[in-house]
Amino acid sequence: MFDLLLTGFQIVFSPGTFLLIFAGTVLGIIFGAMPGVSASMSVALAVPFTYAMSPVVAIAFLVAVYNASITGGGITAILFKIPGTPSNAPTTFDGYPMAQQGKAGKALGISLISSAIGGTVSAIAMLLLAPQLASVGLRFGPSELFAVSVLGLSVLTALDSDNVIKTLISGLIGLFLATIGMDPLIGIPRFTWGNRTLLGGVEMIPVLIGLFAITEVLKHTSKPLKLDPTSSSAGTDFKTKLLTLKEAWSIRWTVVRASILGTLVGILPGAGATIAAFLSYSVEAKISPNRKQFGHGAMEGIAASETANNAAAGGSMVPLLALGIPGGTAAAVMMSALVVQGVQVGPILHRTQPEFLSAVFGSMMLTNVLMVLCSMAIAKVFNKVLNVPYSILGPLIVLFAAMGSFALRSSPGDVVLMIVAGIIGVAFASFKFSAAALVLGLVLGGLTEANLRRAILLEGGSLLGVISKPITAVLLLACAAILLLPLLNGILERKTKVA
Amino acid sequence: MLVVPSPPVIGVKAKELAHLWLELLFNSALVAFFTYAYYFIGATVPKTEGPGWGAEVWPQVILLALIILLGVNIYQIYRRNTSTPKPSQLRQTDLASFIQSKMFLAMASLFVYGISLQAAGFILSTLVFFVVYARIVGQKNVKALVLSSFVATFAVYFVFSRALGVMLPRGYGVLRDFAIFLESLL
Repeated sequence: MFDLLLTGFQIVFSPGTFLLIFAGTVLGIIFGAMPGVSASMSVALAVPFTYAMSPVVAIAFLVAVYNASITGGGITAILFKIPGTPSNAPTTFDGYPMAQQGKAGKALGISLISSAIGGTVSAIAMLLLAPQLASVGLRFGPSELFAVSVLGLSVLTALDSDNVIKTLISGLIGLFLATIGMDPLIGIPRFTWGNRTLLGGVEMIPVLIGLFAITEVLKHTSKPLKLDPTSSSAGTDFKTKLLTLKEAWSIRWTVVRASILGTLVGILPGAGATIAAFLSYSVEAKISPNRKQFGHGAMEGIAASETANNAAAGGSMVPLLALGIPGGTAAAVMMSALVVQGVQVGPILHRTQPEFLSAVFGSMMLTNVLMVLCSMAIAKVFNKVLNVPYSILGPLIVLFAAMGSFALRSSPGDVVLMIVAGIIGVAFASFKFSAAALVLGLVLGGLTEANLRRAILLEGGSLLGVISKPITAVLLLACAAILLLPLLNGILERKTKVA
Repeated sequence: MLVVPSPPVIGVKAKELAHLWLELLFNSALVAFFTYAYYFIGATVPKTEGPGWGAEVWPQVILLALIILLGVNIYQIYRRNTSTPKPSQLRQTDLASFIQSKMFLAMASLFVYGISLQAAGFILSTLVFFVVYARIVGQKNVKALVLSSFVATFAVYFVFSRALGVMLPRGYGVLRDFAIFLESLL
């Protein structure tokens, strides 16, 4: 454990990496604070910068961008009632009322300190849990790993319980896209239609950038995002005021509860920072001694939301580093960035290259400190940063996205692929399909198929032999329960309405 | 000066019906494609001998599940629609307004940009694309359009070409010479 800590700090405090993490933190705060740029989009837009980095530095950089973007999103949530990322939405409930009461600086202080504590707790939890989970994962054979992949996919499906069928379809489309190219076991081309470019499969990065960046930009074409210049908190300079000891003491249990809850929710494959923030806020709104103040500028409200979303960001790295299963869409983007660099993500990663876990831990700890300092500086000039109109910001995002896709293989075809993915993303959003499920299907598809087929081969061709293994059976039964629960709930609700 | 036309105003009910029709069309197109893919993979991949699954089995399992679930989804869309939608309403309303919408123009400009990158090179195609896209989104100030286009194009050029060492496309023929001339000025 001490070795991991030491290695982590050695990596992140080497001058080059430190500067990159600092740049990632600044980039993440600015991206996160810009309305319409989600945390996943921030990470996707940052991926092209990692092509020139070593894989370990790349993951440290992306983690910095991810954590900082979630914190940056809290700034606009407080000052303008516009959550920079969806996970900052609950922050608006109390952050904006505080800003209207002339306490914007104090609200920012609570947000930053809570984010840093949530991030730190989850980083420590990750360091403690990931090796244990990885050692369990190492005992898994292909059949168990197949079941774990399916579990990752099914949990995501259950989270959008209003559209189970559409989310399932989206995940399956992702799995189908992952089958394009060379077969993983016997090297037979599939769905290539004679096209040599398709032999390598569907490139994940352009698809992810298209779905996260281009789709969002296209969606805002008709209704460009605009900050409200008449709001009482706009148009002034904001100086972050840190908490007094008395104030910090008064919200201690909120921060503790939100850190634990956020980390646990983040660890669940498919769950993420948004669910963690809403869940933590609603728990505090019920049990906090100051609950009557919620919605009117309660410090606990901001602390609950901002602690939990940053804790979830760290938690989502646990299944990624331990089992190779991304805990959320941003983690899926990070996983694909590592795969592009030839890193074999999975339980074996921790044994063969423990420096990845160390680098992620070191980066998270450093980012938590840097983001407080950087956010305090950036918040002062925030009005100027946010004055960039969406008519300029939108095409600028497209340029970065296009060049990010192009730079992967110097292929203009990847830019077209990104655009097609972006347009499909718009159709998906319009018809309520899930782009996140598609991404998870695409990222996990190869792993799921390879493990299933290996397991069947080991069992002499018997599928029953694979699914009847004790751990596999338990995991698959859990998947079935997770998949069926929302469907049963829907049927029960309809029956209750009829009655 | 580019002029972005306003989409025609249509009724809410007609819009809902047209959206349902588009959703049905989208789902039907997916069913058609995945059914074709199901037979395609069966016909093109040689059958594997031995105990394990062949290369075609996993895709076929996924495609079969997709076809069934899309069928369920189509049935749900059909059930959701209490009144009978008429295909003529689709032509008159949503499709027409979509084609004239800012989003469609943005999609078209993106597509043209993606295709023109290789032929016209990064700098020229990006300068034009930025102006067109920013105008579609709503930037009317010509000076701001041109200035932001130049600043954004050359900023991205510097980041990717000079800082990250990515060979950006230069185009073909005369356009390539022009791109090299522009790069020599920087």
